[in-house]
Amino acid sequence: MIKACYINGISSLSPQSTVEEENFDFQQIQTFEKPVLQVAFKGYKKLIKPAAMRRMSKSVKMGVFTAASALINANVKAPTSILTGTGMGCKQDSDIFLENLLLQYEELLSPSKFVQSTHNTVGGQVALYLKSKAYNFTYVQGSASFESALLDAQLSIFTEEKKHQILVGGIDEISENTIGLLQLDQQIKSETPLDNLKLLDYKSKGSIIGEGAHFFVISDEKKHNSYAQLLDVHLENSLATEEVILKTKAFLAENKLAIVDIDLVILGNNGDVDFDAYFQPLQQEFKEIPQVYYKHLVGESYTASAFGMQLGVKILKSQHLSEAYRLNAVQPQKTIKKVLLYNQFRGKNHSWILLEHV
Amino acid sequence: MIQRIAITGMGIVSAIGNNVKENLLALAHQKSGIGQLELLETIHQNFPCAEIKLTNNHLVEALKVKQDETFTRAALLGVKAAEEALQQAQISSTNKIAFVNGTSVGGMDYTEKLYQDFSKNPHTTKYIEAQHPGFTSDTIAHHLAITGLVTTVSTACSSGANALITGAKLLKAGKAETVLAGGTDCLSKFTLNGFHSLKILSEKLCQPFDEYRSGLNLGEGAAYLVLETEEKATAQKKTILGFLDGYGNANDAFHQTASSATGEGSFLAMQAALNSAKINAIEVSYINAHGTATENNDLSEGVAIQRIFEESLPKISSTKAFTGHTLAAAGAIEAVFSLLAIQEQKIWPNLNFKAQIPELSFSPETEIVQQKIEKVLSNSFGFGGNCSSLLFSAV
Repeated sequence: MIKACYINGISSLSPQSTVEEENFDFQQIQTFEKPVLQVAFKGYKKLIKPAAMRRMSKSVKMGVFTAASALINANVKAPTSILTGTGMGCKQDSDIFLENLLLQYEELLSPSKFVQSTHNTVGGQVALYLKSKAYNFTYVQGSASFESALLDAQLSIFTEEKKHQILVGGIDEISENTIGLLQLDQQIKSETPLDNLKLLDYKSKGSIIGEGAHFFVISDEKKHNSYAQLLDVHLENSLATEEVILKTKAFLAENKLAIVDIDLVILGNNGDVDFDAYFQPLQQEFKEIPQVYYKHLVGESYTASAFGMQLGVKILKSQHLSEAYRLNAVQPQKTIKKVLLYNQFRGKNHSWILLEHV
Repeated sequence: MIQRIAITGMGIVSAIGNNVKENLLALAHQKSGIGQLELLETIHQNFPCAEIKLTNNHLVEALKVKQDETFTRAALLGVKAAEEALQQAQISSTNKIAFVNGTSVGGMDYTEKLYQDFSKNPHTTKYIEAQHPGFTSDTIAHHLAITGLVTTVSTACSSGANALITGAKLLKAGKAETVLAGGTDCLSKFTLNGFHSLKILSEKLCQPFDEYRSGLNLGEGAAYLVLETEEKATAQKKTILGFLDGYGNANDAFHQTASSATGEGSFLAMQAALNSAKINAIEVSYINAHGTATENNDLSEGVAIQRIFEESLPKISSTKAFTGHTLAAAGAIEAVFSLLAIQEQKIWPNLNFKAQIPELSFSPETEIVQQKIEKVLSNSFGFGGNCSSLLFSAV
């Protein structure tokens, strides 16, 4: 028996969140002049006690806050699993421990940053916050980190006979210390000033970087207010640009669907002139339907695609498309029922997510 | 119908050997791999470690790695172990297999070497991306020509065990036909200094489950298993080495790095492993314990074992005194040792043990015990309260 996965709760913190409001409603778009898009949100104390917050790094604060808030949104008290995806983990604490180690020649190091440096710190801290002894996994697989966690949610529902309330999220933070290294590696654009809303116009190497945390509650149980159904998720580690269409069709065929069945496509274009070619075949293939992109709003990060998914889920629920993230001018001709997401980073860790209206 | 998960190949590299055969020989001769550091450059030479005495250059040559590729040490060790596992499972075409890796150190060895030099030396910039653990998995996958599903579990010291759990779930859900799963981690200054800052490294050879234990010895290594459904393995007439019949993961939800006094997380993980294998505790012949030899772990794990097994304790040992604590590789390395225990019908000894922990009712096995072994439970616990337990069965 194939069971279904429903998305029953969401919370999202991104560079588009305001100081007070976590969830982005697209009424007011934040613009940035630098290629580094940080989360300005300050309202953590709504859910986290100040004493606990003092010890938390930004990833942990963002992760614990959105995890707790997604559970409230889904009206779920205790999750049956906590699944996180992160490309870099708690990068700030990790960088600080490493720099101290190098500067102090391995002498007199405090353990506080080391203990927060493991990639599963957010998952562990969410468990501590919720006092949850549930199954707890963290995936780190470049731009497929969040999708790996999402895949585990689907595997859990398919393989374990019980009621599932799975907390699944993607978290990444910007570390000041590594911005220079990313510039050196040409991951960040060098134009100044830079308008994030014109990201795809620059035709240069690299992108703009961002951070955020996006949590979902996924269950086998459909509720009257479920946001959407997660039909499937698929990963491919490496492929050539010529294979994108083939792999997309194969993924759709696995779900007994074809290109014509898709009503909206959400693509991970990040303006990197060397790699946006991976998205072009799909822009061409899906030219009859509305297309959406999002990295100009929140920047590139290994878990930016989790922002893309919450966008897709919200579009399915509201049936509203904002001009802020339209990649083409095609208007929806009918109810948006099936949404396909595709993402990759530097030609690696390709992912597809298929969502359905409920 | 839910399928049994068969193991059709295994590969390993650790401080006690460069392949399965050498590891088995060292276990059988009670020969530890822990000693003085020779390759890792650090001021902390006073801490014994289980270092693999193969330089990166040696590994690059032996594995025929192309010079322009970006290999971290964890990737080199990973490829070495993975190739052995794939060969035993007679996997000639890797393009259809899924790869689930476990790593916590990832490319930290290169990051710590190059961090201050990236800007000075353009030849090193290719290692900037190697900072994230997925990069190490990508490199291994690329070398093995695995192009499809590749993912990495990073739950600190339980990563390797958890990668096997994800692998089993992929097969059960029909998302993969063959899975290569396990873990790899190399020694690094980052982890050596990290564990030192927590004051849990021992200057002596580690003594798991001993009253006078004084901390852990770090190690490095990699191990992978090839997992397939029983149906597929049987249809292809492959030799089945054992079954992964049960698994459990739970969170201690007590402290970021310390385990609770009652070992709640480990208790729940072991219970879940027994439940998912649908067996009673009394059927377990041997527990390959996490047993790191830290004050905190061994007592907490011991208490949890007693809570599960009560009066009918199976034979127990930790093999960390052979291999050191290999972090994300530990769960996979000990999975190989558990399967070797089943294959040889031998319980591996817990080296360096002298005195029982007064709060516990058991002592670990100190000599090789020859006996009937049908079911082995293997524990792995990590930072973030992460606790995992795997149940292996004989064919």
